[in-house]
Amino acid sequence: MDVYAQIVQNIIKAQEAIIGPVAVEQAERVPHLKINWDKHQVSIDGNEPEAVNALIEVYSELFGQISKEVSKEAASPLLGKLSGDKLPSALK
Amino acid sequence: MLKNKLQILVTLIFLGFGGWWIELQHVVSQQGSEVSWFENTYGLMALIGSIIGFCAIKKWGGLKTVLGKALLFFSLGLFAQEAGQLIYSYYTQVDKIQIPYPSWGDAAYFGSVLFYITAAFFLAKVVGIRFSMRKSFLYKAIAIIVPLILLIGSYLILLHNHQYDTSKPLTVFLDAGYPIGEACYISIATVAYLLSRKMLGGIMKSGILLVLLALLVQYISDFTFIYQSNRNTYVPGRLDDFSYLAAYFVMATALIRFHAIYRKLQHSNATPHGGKTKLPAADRGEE
Repeated sequence: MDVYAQIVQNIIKAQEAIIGPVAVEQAERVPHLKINWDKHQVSIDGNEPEAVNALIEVYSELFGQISKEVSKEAASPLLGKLSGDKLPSALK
Repeated sequence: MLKNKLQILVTLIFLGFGGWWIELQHVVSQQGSEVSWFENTYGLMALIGSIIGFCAIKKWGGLKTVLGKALLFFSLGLFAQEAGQLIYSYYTQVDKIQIPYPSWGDAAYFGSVLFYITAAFFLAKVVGIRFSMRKSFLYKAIAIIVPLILLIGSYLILLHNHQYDTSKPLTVFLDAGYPIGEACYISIATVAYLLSRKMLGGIMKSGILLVLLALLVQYISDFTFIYQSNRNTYVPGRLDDFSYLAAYFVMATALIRFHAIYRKLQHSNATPHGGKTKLPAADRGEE
């Protein structure tokens, strides 16, 4: 799984720990994300940083800035694998 | 909000009991059977609220999630309030005795305090107070100072110069435990509000703020009850009972809100184009 997909997976896991299956359902609303959560499989079909941004935006519709902070925290162990220009803007 | 049938039902029950409470004020000084009936039954609002809460838990992931745990303990807190009231009613209406202290009713009422402390703790986790505390020393200070002020204030107003019956350790424990426990849940709720108010937004904001408001009204009721009981000025059927009724109503409304939010999210998932649209601005808490 590539880094962006791992970031998406971490973010969904973190949100799922707070709100349960609603987190997966919300992630499924995001264009270009392919999710098989039973197998914890995530893939991105399209612009990867934009897909991550869109996922965080969907979650921020639930809790506002708090959702963004939860997402940043979940993604932080993986951000070192991406150079600055490849970082999704929502994670900067 | 009143579009919701459950909310209409709960509001009607609240208005019914509220009207009854107003009506019985002219006989409350006589402490007759009407006051007893009111005292024995208005906890129905807490029971209904707890059932609504128990039904909401599974939707939000049950015990596997932080929000699910918060909802569980808020529901248990409400349920324990009703249990306490029913036990007290059993003493007065069935056994025809004065309510003993401590009694099984206190197991329920004190249990309610513990449930609310646990619920407030999980709610503070839901609203991510750790993020605010990491960002600012001021927020760390608030997280220490607010509980200290509330605990010291509770001690000075409710416990200072209190005459403990040291021959009864359980009585001493409850005399101190009620005010301290209640100061704990309102402290956690206040810190959760202060530390999250700039970051909390979105569709969940209204539900969380309602829960915090319900805890505030519950605390005002508990504080007033202890204050009046310690001075032998508590009169059943007066304002404090209405305050408890209002606390149950606001908590029930908050728990209904979590059902409504869930339904809105399900609806947004079911919209055309795979639901890949933004929620309406009003649903995102941007009213």
